[in-house]
Amino acid sequence: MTTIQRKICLLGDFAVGKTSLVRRYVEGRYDDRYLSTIGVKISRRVLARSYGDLNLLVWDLAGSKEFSSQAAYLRGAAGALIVCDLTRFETLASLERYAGQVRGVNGNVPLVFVANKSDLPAERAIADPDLQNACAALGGPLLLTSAKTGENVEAAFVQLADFLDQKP
Amino acid sequence: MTLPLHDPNVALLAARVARAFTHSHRLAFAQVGPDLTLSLASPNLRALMQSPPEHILGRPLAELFWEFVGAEATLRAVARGDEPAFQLMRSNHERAGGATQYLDFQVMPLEAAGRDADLLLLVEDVSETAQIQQQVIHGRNELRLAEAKRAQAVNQLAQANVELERLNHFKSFLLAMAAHDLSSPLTVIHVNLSRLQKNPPPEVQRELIAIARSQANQLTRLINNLLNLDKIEQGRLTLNRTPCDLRALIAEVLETLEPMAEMRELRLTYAPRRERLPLLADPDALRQILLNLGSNAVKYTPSGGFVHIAASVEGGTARLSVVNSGPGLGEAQMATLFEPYARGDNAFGEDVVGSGLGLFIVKTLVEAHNGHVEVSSRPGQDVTFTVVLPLT
Repeated sequence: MTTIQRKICLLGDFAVGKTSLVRRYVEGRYDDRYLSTIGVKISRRVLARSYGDLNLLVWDLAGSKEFSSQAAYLRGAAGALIVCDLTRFETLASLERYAGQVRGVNGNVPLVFVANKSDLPAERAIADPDLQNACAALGGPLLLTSAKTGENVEAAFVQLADFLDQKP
Repeated sequence: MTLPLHDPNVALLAARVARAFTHSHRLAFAQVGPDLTLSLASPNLRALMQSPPEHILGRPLAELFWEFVGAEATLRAVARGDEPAFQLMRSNHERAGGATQYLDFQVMPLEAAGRDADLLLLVEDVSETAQIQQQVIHGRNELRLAEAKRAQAVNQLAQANVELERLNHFKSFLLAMAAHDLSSPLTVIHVNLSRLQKNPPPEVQRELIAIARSQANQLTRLINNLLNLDKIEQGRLTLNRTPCDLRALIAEVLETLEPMAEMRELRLTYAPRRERLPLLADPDALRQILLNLGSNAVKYTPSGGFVHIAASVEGGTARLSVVNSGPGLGEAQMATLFEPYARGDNAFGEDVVGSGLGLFIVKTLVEAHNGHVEVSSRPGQDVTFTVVLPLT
């Protein structure tokens, strides 16, 4: 059986829930407290694939501006999950910038876009048509997720893993 | 660059530096070969690794530190001298007890840049500084989130205020309506009933009943308009489309309009068709459309004039026209004709009872049926309102 290791990055504005998504995906748990990430936290999850194991190294990158433009974090990424917060409209506009950063360093790698916090419908600030327009402009799938309930979290990472498998 | 270790002072200094590294809990180093495996490491390097294997020498750097996965090409570029160094700052490592340890990594050529030089890896525990930095950034992020929430709350308050003002305006309108438009017909009905109690001659009784009935119809129409307005404002307007006969509905509405027309000495005519005029529509909505257009025409036509109603089928649409002889409409009136609370002046100086909602409701109900309303007039000429509705 083959084992393949791939680095993927999570990018998005601060407090959109990147660390919570990784925690949900890697550790299967959720913590309501918000703690800003600085730098990067690398986690690993092994996925069983038809050819063997896929070691996903998940780079949870800081969303704060001090760390948002360091190419060293992005170098060698095979793909990325780019995250916005459904309760903060301004985080939607940042998706394009992060996509540009990843592609600027790594070329045309697969990207999956994630609109997180779907468990807060009463606070929702991004309407479906805005998401659809953004999706069309960015050229990648967009999933509505909730790190809190786990909705679509697995699906978002698996979608990216499927894209990685299609790449040589 | 090679150190001149034959110089005793340099050698002593190098030995002290090496000892300092060895005993440091914060800074460790390693030598990395061109194949990106560890060839030499300070003893304290293991202490800075999350789960170090038994032997670290000879292992690929990317196996020992995930930070270097995907960075192999860059490290080779550093070894070749194509890039000056590789840096990765503030990598979070979880330690026992849940504390976060922050490490900075730097990789640079060990010797003067050349082909496939060995690399020097420096790993520094910057937790103390990084924790302060984390707290500062976290505080700032919290502040920005709080500011955004405050701005959102202010915006919601402003929107709520606009809605309150609108409701307040609506309430004032209803009060004015109740005071004038609803009370006037009620007064007339009361007066006529009082006169009927005095047992006047039969012909006078008939006249009094006709007037009271006309005023009651007027009240019904006003109240229905208000109920429709409420549904429109609440976004609750729904149509119950069923097969209807437009001819039968016109005949029914004419019966309501006739007493009003008689009182105003108007000729109320209808070009009747023998066959039915079937269409799929909400009969209550159609009745309201007909009543509003018909009673408007009656109210704004000077005595001695006429109101004519016609209906036809053209293509896949039903066309319903209400024409009245009258003072006509100017451009300014035409511009605001279908706005809510817009009231027309009647050129003959009478006080016209009405809410100013009739045409607004006509337009809304017609458009809810995917139809439209046309109006044609000029000052001093007839006024024609035409409602065009799809048959299905």
